[in-house]
Amino acid sequence: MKISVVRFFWATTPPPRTLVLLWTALTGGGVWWMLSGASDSTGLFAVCLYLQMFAVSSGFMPSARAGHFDPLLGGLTSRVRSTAAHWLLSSVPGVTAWVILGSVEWLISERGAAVAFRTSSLAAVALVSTVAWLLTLPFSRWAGAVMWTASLVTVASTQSGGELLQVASVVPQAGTEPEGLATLGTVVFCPFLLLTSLDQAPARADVVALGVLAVAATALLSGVCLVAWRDYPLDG
Amino acid sequence: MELELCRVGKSYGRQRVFQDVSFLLQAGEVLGLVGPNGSGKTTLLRIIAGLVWPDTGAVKWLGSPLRTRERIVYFAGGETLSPSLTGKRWAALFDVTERVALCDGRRVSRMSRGNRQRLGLAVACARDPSALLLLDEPWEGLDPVCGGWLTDSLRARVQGQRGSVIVASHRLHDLAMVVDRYALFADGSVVIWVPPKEAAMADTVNALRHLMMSSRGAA
Repeated sequence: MKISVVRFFWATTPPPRTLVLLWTALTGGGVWWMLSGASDSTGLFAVCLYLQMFAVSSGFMPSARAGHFDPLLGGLTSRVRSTAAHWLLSSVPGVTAWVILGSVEWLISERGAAVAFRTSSLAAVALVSTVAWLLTLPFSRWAGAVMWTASLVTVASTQSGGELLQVASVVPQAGTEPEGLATLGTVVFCPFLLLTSLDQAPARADVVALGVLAVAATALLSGVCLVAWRDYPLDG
Repeated sequence: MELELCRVGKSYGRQRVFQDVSFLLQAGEVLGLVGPNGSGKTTLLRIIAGLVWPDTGAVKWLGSPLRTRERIVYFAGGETLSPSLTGKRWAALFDVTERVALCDGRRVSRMSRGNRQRLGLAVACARDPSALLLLDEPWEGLDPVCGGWLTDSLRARVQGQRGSVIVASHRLHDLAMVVDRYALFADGSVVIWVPPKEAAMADTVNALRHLMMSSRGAA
Protein backbone atom coordinates (compact mmCIF):
# COMPACT_ATOMS: atom_id res chain seq x y z
CA MET A 1 0.00 0.00 0.00
CA LYS A 2 1.35 3.42 -0.96
CA ILE A 3 1.32 6.09 1.73
CA SER A 4 0.97 9.76 0.86
CA VAL A 5 4.33 11.10 2.00
CA VAL A 6 3.07 14.67 2.36
CA ARG A 7 0.06 13.56 4.44
CA PHE A 8 2.38 11.43 6.55
CA PHE A 9 4.73 14.30 7.46
CA TRP A 10 1.79 16.64 7.97
CA ALA A 11 0.32 14.17 10.50
CA THR A 12 3.54 13.19 12.31
CA THR A 13 5.44 16.50 12.35
CA PRO A 14 2.99 19.31 11.70
CA PRO A 15 4.38 22.87 11.67
CA PRO A 16 4.13 24.50 15.12
CA ARG A 17 1.09 26.73 15.64
CA THR A 18 3.36 29.66 16.52
CA LEU A 19 4.96 29.44 13.12
CA VAL A 20 1.63 29.29 11.31
CA LEU A 21 0.46 32.34 13.28
CA LEU A 22 3.66 34.24 12.52
CA TRP A 23 3.39 33.52 8.79
CA THR A 24 -0.24 34.60 8.75
CA ALA A 25 0.53 37.78 10.67
CA LEU A 26 3.55 38.60 8.51
CA THR A 27 1.66 38.04 5.26
CA GLY A 28 -1.44 39.95 6.36
CA GLY A 29 0.53 42.74 7.97
CA GLY A 30 2.89 42.96 5.01
CA VAL A 31 0.09 43.26 2.48
CA TRP A 32 -1.58 45.97 4.60
CA TRP A 33 1.74 47.80 5.04
CA MET A 34 2.50 47.83 1.31
CA LEU A 35 -1.04 48.88 0.38
CA SER A 36 -0.82 51.72 2.88
CA GLY A 37 1.95 53.26 0.81
CA ALA A 38 5.28 51.94 2.09
CA SER A 39 8.08 53.07 -0.20
CA ASP A 40 10.68 50.35 0.35
CA SER A 41 9.68 46.77 1.10
CA THR A 42 13.23 45.38 1.43
CA GLY A 43 12.92 45.20 5.23
CA LEU A 44 9.69 43.24 4.97
CA PHE A 45 11.30 40.63 2.72
CA ALA A 46 14.33 40.44 5.01
CA VAL A 47 11.98 39.54 7.89
CA CYS A 48 10.27 37.02 5.62
CA LEU A 49 13.65 35.48 4.77
CA TYR A 50 14.59 35.29 8.45
CA LEU A 51 11.31 33.58 9.35
CA GLN A 52 11.84 31.14 6.49
CA MET A 53 15.21 30.25 8.05
CA PHE A 54 13.33 29.05 11.15
CA ALA A 55 10.44 27.47 9.22
CA VAL A 56 12.67 25.17 7.18
CA SER A 57 14.74 24.25 10.26
CA SER A 58 12.33 21.40 10.86
CA GLY A 59 14.77 18.63 11.87
CA PHE A 60 14.72 15.00 10.80
CA MET A 61 17.13 12.54 12.41
CA PRO A 62 15.89 12.65 16.03
CA SER A 63 12.36 11.79 14.86
CA ALA A 64 13.66 9.20 12.39
CA ARG A 65 15.80 7.52 15.06
CA ALA A 66 12.82 7.49 17.42
CA GLY A 67 10.96 5.44 14.81
CA HIS A 68 8.40 8.13 13.92
CA PHE A 69 9.12 7.81 10.19
CA ASP A 70 9.52 4.01 10.06
CA PRO A 71 6.67 3.40 7.58
CA LEU A 72 8.33 5.79 5.11
CA LEU A 73 12.03 5.02 5.29
CA GLY A 74 12.17 1.38 4.17
CA GLY A 75 14.17 1.20 0.95
CA LEU A 76 16.33 3.69 -0.91
CA THR A 77 13.68 4.86 -3.40
CA SER A 78 11.20 5.76 -0.72
CA ARG A 79 13.88 7.58 1.29
CA VAL A 80 14.71 9.90 -1.62
CA ARG A 81 11.01 10.58 -2.16
CA SER A 82 10.41 11.12 1.55
CA THR A 83 13.36 13.50 1.94
CA ALA A 84 12.23 15.59 -1.02
CA ALA A 85 8.72 15.75 0.43
CA HIS A 86 10.08 16.71 3.85
CA TRP A 87 12.00 19.63 2.34
CA LEU A 88 9.04 20.67 0.22
CA LEU A 89 6.65 20.64 3.16
CA SER A 90 9.11 22.64 5.29
CA SER A 91 9.59 25.25 2.56
CA VAL A 92 6.13 25.69 1.09
CA PRO A 93 4.53 27.95 3.76
CA GLY A 94 7.37 30.48 3.53
CA VAL A 95 7.51 30.38 -0.25
CA THR A 96 3.75 30.90 -0.40
CA ALA A 97 4.01 33.96 1.86
CA TRP A 98 6.87 35.27 -0.30
CA VAL A 99 4.85 34.83 -3.50
CA ILE A 100 1.79 36.56 -2.01
CA LEU A 101 3.80 39.50 -0.70
CA GLY A 102 5.86 39.67 -3.90
CA SER A 103 2.75 39.70 -6.08
CA VAL A 104 1.30 42.60 -4.10
CA GLU A 105 4.61 44.45 -4.31
CA TRP A 106 4.82 43.82 -8.06
CA LEU A 107 1.29 45.12 -8.60
CA ILE A 108 1.69 48.37 -6.66
CA SER A 109 5.29 49.34 -7.34
CA GLU A 110 7.20 50.36 -10.40
CA ARG A 111 8.30 47.10 -12.00
CA GLY A 112 12.04 47.81 -11.70
CA ALA A 113 11.83 48.61 -8.01
CA ALA A 114 10.16 45.35 -6.96
CA VAL A 115 12.41 43.36 -4.61
CA ALA A 116 10.73 39.96 -4.28
CA PHE A 117 11.09 38.58 -7.79
CA ARG A 118 14.63 39.73 -8.63
CA THR A 119 16.91 36.81 -9.47
CA SER A 120 19.11 37.60 -6.48
CA SER A 121 16.11 37.71 -4.10
CA LEU A 122 14.77 34.40 -5.38
CA ALA A 123 18.26 32.94 -5.01
CA ALA A 124 18.25 34.13 -1.39
CA VAL A 125 14.97 32.30 -0.72
CA ALA A 126 16.29 29.13 -2.36
CA LEU A 127 19.53 29.33 -0.37
CA VAL A 128 17.87 29.86 3.01
CA SER A 129 15.24 27.18 2.27
CA THR A 130 17.86 24.54 1.53
CA VAL A 131 20.86 25.38 3.72
CA ALA A 132 18.90 25.92 6.97
CA TRP A 133 16.98 22.69 6.25
CA LEU A 134 20.26 20.80 5.63
CA LEU A 135 21.90 22.20 8.78
CA THR A 136 18.94 21.07 10.89
CA LEU A 137 18.59 17.52 9.45
CA PRO A 138 20.76 15.89 12.14
CA PHE A 139 19.17 17.92 14.95
CA SER A 140 15.82 18.94 16.40
CA ARG A 141 13.61 21.77 15.14
CA TRP A 142 15.10 25.29 14.95
CA ALA A 143 18.72 24.11 15.37
CA GLY A 144 19.93 25.27 11.93
CA ALA A 145 18.35 28.71 12.24
CA VAL A 146 19.76 29.18 15.73
CA MET A 147 23.27 28.15 14.60
CA TRP A 148 23.09 30.40 11.54
CA THR A 149 21.83 33.36 13.57
CA ALA A 150 24.51 32.84 16.22
CA SER A 151 27.22 32.73 13.53
CA LEU A 152 25.92 35.91 11.88
CA VAL A 153 25.73 37.76 15.18
CA THR A 154 29.19 36.58 16.20
CA VAL A 155 30.82 37.63 12.93
CA ALA A 156 28.95 40.92 12.65
CA SER A 157 29.72 41.87 16.24
CA THR A 158 33.47 41.64 15.78
CA GLN A 159 35.03 44.69 14.14
CA SER A 160 36.93 42.75 11.51
CA GLY A 161 33.89 40.54 10.77
CA GLY A 162 31.62 43.55 10.31
CA GLU A 163 34.12 45.22 7.99
CA LEU A 164 34.54 41.98 6.06
CA LEU A 165 30.78 41.73 5.48
CA GLN A 166 30.68 45.35 4.27
CA VAL A 167 33.67 45.10 1.98
CA ALA A 168 32.94 41.68 0.51
CA SER A 169 29.31 42.53 -0.22
CA VAL A 170 30.33 45.14 -2.78
CA VAL A 171 29.85 43.65 -6.22
CA PRO A 172 33.20 43.29 -7.96
CA GLN A 173 33.79 44.35 -11.53
CA ALA A 174 34.16 41.89 -14.39
CA GLY A 175 37.33 39.83 -14.51
CA THR A 176 38.05 39.73 -10.80
CA GLU A 177 37.31 36.11 -9.95
CA PRO A 178 38.84 36.03 -6.44
CA GLU A 179 36.66 38.96 -5.39
CA GLY A 180 33.70 37.28 -7.08
CA LEU A 181 34.24 34.17 -4.96
CA ALA A 182 34.54 36.33 -1.84
CA THR A 183 31.22 37.96 -2.70
CA LEU A 184 29.64 34.55 -3.23
CA GLY A 185 30.99 33.33 0.10
CA THR A 186 29.72 36.42 1.87
CA VAL A 187 26.18 36.29 0.46
CA VAL A 188 25.96 32.56 1.17
CA PHE A 189 26.90 33.31 4.77
CA CYS A 190 24.64 36.37 4.95
CA PRO A 191 21.89 35.94 2.31
CA PHE A 192 20.13 39.14 3.44
CA LEU A 193 22.80 41.00 1.43
CA LEU A 194 21.22 39.55 -1.71
CA LEU A 195 18.16 41.72 -1.08
CA THR A 196 20.11 44.97 -0.88
CA SER A 197 23.70 45.15 -1.98
CA LEU A 198 23.59 43.94 -5.56
CA ASP A 199 21.44 46.76 -6.94
CA GLN A 200 24.22 48.65 -8.66
CA ALA A 201 25.49 45.94 -11.00
CA PRO A 202 22.54 43.83 -12.18
CA ALA A 203 24.51 41.76 -14.71
CA ARG A 204 27.14 40.83 -12.14
CA ALA A 205 24.41 40.25 -9.56
CA ASP A 206 22.87 37.60 -11.81
CA VAL A 207 26.18 35.75 -11.93
CA VAL A 208 26.39 35.81 -8.14
CA ALA A 209 22.74 34.68 -7.93
CA LEU A 210 23.52 31.73 -10.20
CA GLY A 211 26.37 30.76 -7.89
CA VAL A 212 24.00 31.00 -4.93
CA LEU A 213 21.45 28.80 -6.73
CA ALA A 214 24.19 26.23 -7.35
CA VAL A 215 25.00 26.24 -3.63
CA ALA A 216 21.28 25.80 -2.84
CA ALA A 217 20.99 22.85 -5.25
CA THR A 218 24.08 21.25 -3.71
CA ALA A 219 22.61 21.68 -0.22
CA LEU A 220 19.36 20.00 -1.27
CA LEU A 221 21.21 17.12 -2.90
CA SER A 222 23.46 16.72 0.15
CA GLY A 223 20.38 16.58 2.37
CA VAL A 224 18.82 13.85 0.26
CA CYS A 225 22.07 11.84 0.32
CA LEU A 226 22.46 12.36 4.09
CA VAL A 227 19.01 10.90 4.73
CA ALA A 228 19.08 8.19 2.06
CA TRP A 229 22.43 6.50 2.74
CA ARG A 230 22.36 5.87 6.44
CA ASP A 231 21.07 3.40 9.01
CA TYR A 232 18.11 4.09 11.25
CA PRO A 233 18.58 1.98 14.37
CA LEU A 234 16.22 2.83 17.21
CA ASP A 235 17.54 5.20 19.86
CA GLY A 236 17.52 3.98 23.42
CA MET B 1 5.28 -14.97 -0.53
CA GLU B 2 8.83 -15.63 0.52
CA LEU B 3 11.53 -13.90 2.51
CA GLU B 4 15.08 -15.16 2.22
CA LEU B 5 18.03 -14.07 4.34
CA CYS B 6 21.39 -15.26 3.11
CA ARG B 7 24.42 -14.87 5.43
CA VAL B 8 23.31 -11.50 6.73
CA GLY B 9 25.72 -9.78 9.12
CA LYS B 10 25.74 -6.44 10.89
CA SER B 11 28.15 -4.49 13.08
CA TYR B 12 27.97 -1.04 14.64
CA GLY B 13 31.52 0.23 14.53
CA ARG B 14 33.71 -2.46 16.07
CA GLN B 15 30.80 -4.10 17.85
CA ARG B 16 29.52 -7.10 15.92
CA VAL B 17 25.80 -7.62 16.39
CA PHE B 18 25.46 -10.89 14.47
CA GLN B 19 26.84 -12.64 11.43
CA ASP B 20 25.82 -15.26 8.87
CA VAL B 21 22.10 -15.20 9.61
CA SER B 22 20.28 -17.30 7.03
CA PHE B 23 16.69 -18.51 6.86
CA LEU B 24 13.72 -18.76 4.56
CA LEU B 25 10.22 -17.67 5.56
CA GLN B 26 7.25 -19.00 3.61
CA ALA B 27 3.75 -17.57 3.42
CA GLY B 28 1.63 -18.63 6.37
CA GLU B 29 4.58 -19.00 8.75
CA VAL B 30 5.28 -17.28 12.06
CA LEU B 31 8.92 -16.93 13.05
CA GLY B 32 9.78 -15.95 16.62
CA LEU B 33 12.99 -14.10 17.44
CA VAL B 34 14.24 -14.79 20.95
CA GLY B 35 17.44 -13.92 22.74
CA PRO B 36 18.92 -11.73 25.43
CA ASN B 37 18.72 -7.93 25.39
CA GLY B 38 21.09 -6.44 22.85
CA SER B 39 21.49 -9.67 20.89
CA GLY B 40 20.27 -8.13 17.61
CA LYS B 41 16.57 -9.00 17.33
CA THR B 42 15.50 -5.41 16.70
CA THR B 43 18.41 -4.86 14.32
CA LEU B 44 17.39 -7.89 12.27
CA LEU B 45 13.79 -6.68 12.08
CA ARG B 46 14.99 -3.24 10.97
CA ILE B 47 17.21 -4.80 8.31
CA ILE B 48 14.22 -6.69 6.91
CA ALA B 49 12.12 -3.51 7.13
CA GLY B 50 14.76 -1.64 5.11
CA LEU B 51 15.69 0.80 7.88
CA VAL B 52 19.18 -0.58 8.49
CA TRP B 53 21.56 -1.80 5.79
CA PRO B 54 23.28 -5.15 6.39
CA ASP B 55 27.10 -5.10 6.18
CA THR B 56 27.24 -8.54 4.59
CA GLY B 57 24.82 -10.94 2.95
CA ALA B 58 21.56 -10.34 1.16
CA VAL B 59 17.89 -10.09 1.92
CA LYS B 60 15.53 -11.27 -0.81
CA TRP B 61 11.85 -10.53 -0.79
CA LEU B 62 9.53 -12.21 -3.31
CA GLY B 63 12.56 -13.54 -5.12
CA SER B 64 14.47 -10.32 -5.72
CA PRO B 65 16.79 -8.11 -3.64
CA LEU B 66 14.92 -5.62 -1.50
CA ARG B 67 14.68 -2.16 -2.97
CA THR B 68 11.35 -0.97 -1.76
CA ARG B 69 9.53 -2.58 1.12
CA GLU B 70 6.18 -3.03 -0.58
CA ARG B 71 3.99 -5.46 1.36
CA ILE B 72 6.13 -5.36 4.48
CA VAL B 73 4.52 -3.84 7.58
CA TYR B 74 6.77 -3.07 10.56
CA PHE B 75 5.75 -1.88 14.00
CA ALA B 76 8.41 -1.36 16.68
CA GLY B 77 6.17 -0.37 19.59
CA GLY B 78 3.95 2.44 20.81
CA GLU B 79 6.95 4.64 21.61
CA THR B 80 7.68 4.91 17.88
CA LEU B 81 4.40 6.71 17.20
CA SER B 82 4.91 10.46 16.91
CA PRO B 83 3.46 12.26 19.96
CA SER B 84 1.80 14.81 17.64
CA LEU B 85 -0.35 12.14 15.99
CA THR B 86 -3.95 11.43 16.80
CA GLY B 87 -5.35 7.92 16.50
CA LYS B 88 -7.70 9.09 13.79
CA ARG B 89 -4.94 10.60 11.68
CA TRP B 90 -2.68 7.56 12.07
CA ALA B 91 -5.43 5.17 10.95
CA ALA B 92 -6.48 7.50 8.13
CA LEU B 93 -2.95 7.48 6.70
CA PHE B 94 -3.35 3.79 5.97
CA ASP B 95 -7.08 3.90 5.16
CA VAL B 96 -8.01 1.62 8.04
CA THR B 97 -10.13 4.03 10.09
CA GLU B 98 -13.17 1.74 10.14
CA ARG B 99 -11.25 -1.27 11.43
CA VAL B 100 -9.33 0.34 14.29
CA ALA B 101 -10.42 1.15 17.84
CA LEU B 102 -8.94 4.21 19.62
CA CYS B 103 -9.48 5.98 16.36
CA ASP B 104 -10.41 9.32 17.88
CA GLY B 105 -8.96 12.81 18.09
CA ARG B 106 -6.82 12.14 21.17
CA ARG B 107 -3.13 12.80 20.71
CA VAL B 108 -0.69 9.91 21.15
CA SER B 109 1.15 12.01 23.76
CA ARG B 110 -1.99 11.84 25.94
CA MET B 111 -2.50 8.09 25.59
CA SER B 112 -1.32 5.51 28.10
CA ARG B 113 1.56 3.24 27.10
CA GLY B 114 -0.84 0.34 26.58
CA ASN B 115 -3.20 2.36 24.40
CA ARG B 116 -0.34 3.58 22.20
CA GLN B 117 0.67 -0.02 21.74
CA ARG B 118 -2.93 -1.05 20.97
CA LEU B 119 -3.31 1.72 18.42
CA GLY B 120 -0.06 0.89 16.64
CA LEU B 121 -0.80 -2.84 16.60
CA ALA B 122 -4.37 -2.39 15.43
CA VAL B 123 -3.24 -0.23 12.49
CA ALA B 124 -0.35 -2.57 11.65
CA CYS B 125 -2.60 -5.65 11.69
CA ALA B 126 -5.32 -3.93 9.65
CA ARG B 127 -2.94 -2.82 6.90
CA ASP B 128 -2.61 -5.27 4.00
CA PRO B 129 -3.56 -8.66 5.59
CA SER B 130 -1.39 -10.53 3.11
CA ALA B 131 1.79 -8.54 3.90
CA LEU B 132 4.76 -9.74 5.91
CA LEU B 133 4.20 -8.36 9.41
CA LEU B 134 7.23 -7.52 11.55
CA LEU B 135 6.53 -6.90 15.24
CA ASP B 136 8.95 -5.95 18.00
CA GLU B 137 7.83 -6.80 21.55
CA PRO B 138 4.14 -6.55 20.61
CA TRP B 139 2.71 -7.88 23.92
CA GLU B 140 4.50 -5.25 26.01
CA GLY B 141 2.07 -3.01 27.89
CA LEU B 142 -1.06 -4.91 26.79
CA ASP B 143 -3.61 -6.17 29.28
CA PRO B 144 -4.58 -9.88 29.06
CA VAL B 145 -7.66 -9.18 26.91
CA CYS B 146 -5.71 -7.15 24.36
CA GLY B 147 -2.87 -9.66 24.50
CA GLY B 148 -5.40 -12.38 23.61
CA TRP B 149 -6.75 -10.26 20.77
CA LEU B 150 -3.22 -9.89 19.39
CA THR B 151 -2.54 -13.63 19.59
CA ASP B 152 -5.83 -14.37 17.79
CA SER B 153 -5.08 -11.73 15.15
CA LEU B 154 -1.68 -13.22 14.40
CA ARG B 155 -3.13 -16.72 14.13
CA ALA B 156 -5.88 -15.49 11.82
CA ARG B 157 -3.34 -13.68 9.69
CA VAL B 158 -1.38 -16.78 8.78
CA GLN B 159 -4.39 -19.04 8.29
CA GLY B 160 -4.78 -20.08 4.68
CA GLN B 161 -1.17 -18.98 4.06
CA ARG B 162 -2.15 -15.40 3.35
CA GLY B 163 0.33 -13.39 5.39
CA SER B 164 3.38 -14.25 7.44
CA VAL B 165 4.79 -12.83 10.64
CA ILE B 166 8.15 -12.32 12.31
CA VAL B 167 7.84 -11.41 15.94
CA ALA B 168 10.55 -10.58 18.48
CA SER B 169 9.62 -10.99 22.13
CA HIS B 170 10.80 -12.07 25.56
CA ARG B 171 7.30 -13.36 26.39
CA LEU B 172 7.87 -17.03 25.68
CA HIS B 173 4.34 -18.14 26.65
CA ASP B 174 2.75 -15.67 24.24
CA LEU B 175 5.20 -16.62 21.51
CA ALA B 176 4.54 -20.32 21.99
CA MET B 177 0.87 -19.79 21.14
CA VAL B 178 1.59 -18.50 17.63
CA VAL B 179 5.13 -19.33 16.53
CA ASP B 180 6.04 -22.15 14.12
CA ARG B 181 9.83 -21.75 14.26
CA TYR B 182 12.28 -19.82 16.43
CA ALA B 183 15.47 -17.94 15.67
CA LEU B 184 17.62 -18.00 18.80
CA PHE B 185 20.08 -15.15 19.09
CA ALA B 186 23.21 -15.65 21.16
CA ASP B 187 26.81 -14.51 21.00
CA GLY B 188 26.55 -12.96 17.54
CA SER B 189 25.02 -15.94 15.81
CA VAL B 190 21.51 -17.19 15.19
CA VAL B 191 20.23 -20.75 15.39
CA ILE B 192 16.89 -21.83 13.95
CA TRP B 193 14.91 -24.16 16.20
CA VAL B 194 11.67 -25.92 15.34
CA PRO B 195 9.64 -27.20 18.31
CA PRO B 196 8.27 -30.74 18.02
CA LYS B 197 4.83 -30.78 16.34
CA GLU B 198 2.91 -32.30 19.24
CA ALA B 199 4.82 -30.59 22.05
CA ALA B 200 2.71 -29.00 24.79
CA MET B 201 3.11 -25.26 25.19
CA ALA B 202 4.79 -25.63 28.58
CA ASP B 203 7.32 -28.07 27.11
CA THR B 204 8.11 -25.68 24.26
CA VAL B 205 8.66 -22.82 26.69
CA ASN B 206 10.87 -24.96 28.92
CA ALA B 207 12.88 -26.16 25.95
CA LEU B 208 13.33 -22.57 24.78
CA ARG B 209 14.46 -21.47 28.24
CA HIS B 210 16.92 -24.33 28.35
CA LEU B 211 18.30 -23.49 24.91
CA MET B 212 18.69 -19.83 25.83
CA MET B 213 20.41 -20.63 29.12
CA SER B 214 22.80 -23.07 27.51
CA SER B 215 23.69 -20.69 24.69
CA ARG B 216 24.30 -17.97 27.28
CA GLY B 217 26.46 -20.37 29.26
CA ALA B 218 28.42 -21.21 26.14
CA ALA B 219 28.91 -17.50 25.48
